[in-house]
Amino acid sequence: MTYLLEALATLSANRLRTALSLAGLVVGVGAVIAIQILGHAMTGATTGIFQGFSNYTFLVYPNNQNGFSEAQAVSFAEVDQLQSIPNVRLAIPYWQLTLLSRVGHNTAQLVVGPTGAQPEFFSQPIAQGRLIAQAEVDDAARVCILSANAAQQLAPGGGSLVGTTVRAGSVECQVVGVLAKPPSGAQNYNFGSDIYLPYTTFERHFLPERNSYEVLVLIADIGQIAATEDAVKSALRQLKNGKFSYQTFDNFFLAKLAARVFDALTLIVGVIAAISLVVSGIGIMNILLVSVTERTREIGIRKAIGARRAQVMAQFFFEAAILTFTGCALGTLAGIAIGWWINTQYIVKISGVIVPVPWLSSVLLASLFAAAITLAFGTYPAYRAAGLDPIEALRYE
Amino acid sequence: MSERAIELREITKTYVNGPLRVPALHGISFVIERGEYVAIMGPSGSGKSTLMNLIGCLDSPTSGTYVLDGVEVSKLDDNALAEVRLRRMGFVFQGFNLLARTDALRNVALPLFYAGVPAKQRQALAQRALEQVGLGERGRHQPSQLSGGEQQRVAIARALINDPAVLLADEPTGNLDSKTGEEIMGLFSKLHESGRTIIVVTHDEQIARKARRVIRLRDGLVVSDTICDFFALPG
Repeated sequence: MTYLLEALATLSANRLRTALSLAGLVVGVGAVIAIQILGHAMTGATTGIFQGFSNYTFLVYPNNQNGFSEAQAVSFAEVDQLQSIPNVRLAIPYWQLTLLSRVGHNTAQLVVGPTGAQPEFFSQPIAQGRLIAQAEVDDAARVCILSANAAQQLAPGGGSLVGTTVRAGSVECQVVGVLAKPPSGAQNYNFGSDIYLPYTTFERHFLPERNSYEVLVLIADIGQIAATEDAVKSALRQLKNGKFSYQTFDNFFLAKLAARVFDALTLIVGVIAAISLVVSGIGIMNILLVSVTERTREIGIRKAIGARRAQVMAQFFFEAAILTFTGCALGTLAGIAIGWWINTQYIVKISGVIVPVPWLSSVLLASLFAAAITLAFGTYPAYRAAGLDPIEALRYE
Repeated sequence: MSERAIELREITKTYVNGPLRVPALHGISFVIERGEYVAIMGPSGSGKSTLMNLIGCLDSPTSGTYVLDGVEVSKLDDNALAEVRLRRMGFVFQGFNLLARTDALRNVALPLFYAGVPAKQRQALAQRALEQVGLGERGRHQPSQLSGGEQQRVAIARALINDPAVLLADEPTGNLDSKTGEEIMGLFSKLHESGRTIIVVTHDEQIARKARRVIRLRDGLVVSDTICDFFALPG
């Protein structure tokens, strides 16, 4: 304790020296912490970026790498055979068309696609009205659900569209529900449709060939999605006698890809920041070593009046410890502040998701760095100081 | 406890520098009683500094015995020597050697810090020591704010704070003008009168004349050892 106070007194008596050695460490630790928080935020935010596609669905489509063939299209009968695969709740022929759509005098080019009665087909909840009823699916009723985007374009003045009639191409259908708006920022990555028709209705009007190049599969257990995708792919391949192969797309695919990219980026930038920390550690050692030389006379005086080797060493060691822990504390605060600010100001605009700041790991990381730097870069100068010969040190000018 | 403050028997010191052996002291023996005021004199190269370092326990002799305040110190290791310097030896240097940017009070209290005295007590003891050298009001001044004579008095207060057996001064007036030098020597005389054992290492006859006994060195040997009370003329 007394050593701590003594070291504090020495450090505060030499403010410029102290401030200079702190600066490097504050910047280094601040950068590491900020990068760690930003990486965390970006990785977490990817779950929010791809909100247009339900987590409970995946899309199957032909692998066209070896050329395109009409035989790759999946017939309705073949789609029905997929229903028996475990974890598959419903498989429907899938296609999206962009059609001129109209309500009254308002028109817009909108994406029209099929859906089922299950709420899990949608990534957003219903904001107005209701979902499509199973009976309406069974009867191929001319009803539809609009996305928030469609509702906004078809009724720019606001006002509910539930109950009105929408004309999508040549098909007229009644609006039964409107989906909620996805979190801001997610629009750019919307894989969903604007006008959802019951798949039976969609088939009747838009898939007269009774086949489709894509299949949308609704599953029960998200945890089994990869296995289910594999099962569906191999089932289709079998149905096509092994002539064609199929691939799948789901929300996790993109999120995982993006998360992996951000993880890699975080790692690389983190390594660069860690190198800057080592540099600032060496800076601290340099300043401590210079101060051993600069303070040779002081050390000589201290030893002449009876300071033991361990006492001189302790003094320098405590000075290093105070420097590094103060630097790391300030750096942590700065890093958290910067990370939090960029997170709430910018990342949220991309993802619509605010990821909480990882306080604990930030503080742990910084303390760990502080301890390591003290040990690695404070010990040698302290050892050098303690080993000085008092006679030589007193003669030093 | 012995009445002898210092006892040197056949002390030799040879510096070894690679294959080179440089003898500095050839066998020094003398005794300094408690309360004595001794000047050690000699031209440069006489072994004066080497002897001072040995007496001050900053260095160990190559051979011979050194008993300080009843403790045989010639065979002690680094840490034990530090302990002896802390408890039994007070240093006063030519260049004052105060810690820069550290006020007088903290400078004086420094040996107490190493002796493990609690902070509050350090403060009080240091204040009293400063008062004894006439600087009771200047405890919060830094060395750069003090005159040379004041700095030397702070150094003397620091040397005395652990109540050492011997006060060892190396050219204590070398960096001072003659008037301030007189004041410092006056302070030494007062300390001597109050019973302190004082050793002054100097090449200045005027300074040596203040002492009651002068030991002269030449080429690493004692060439004269005189009680010169008789010659202690003013000026």
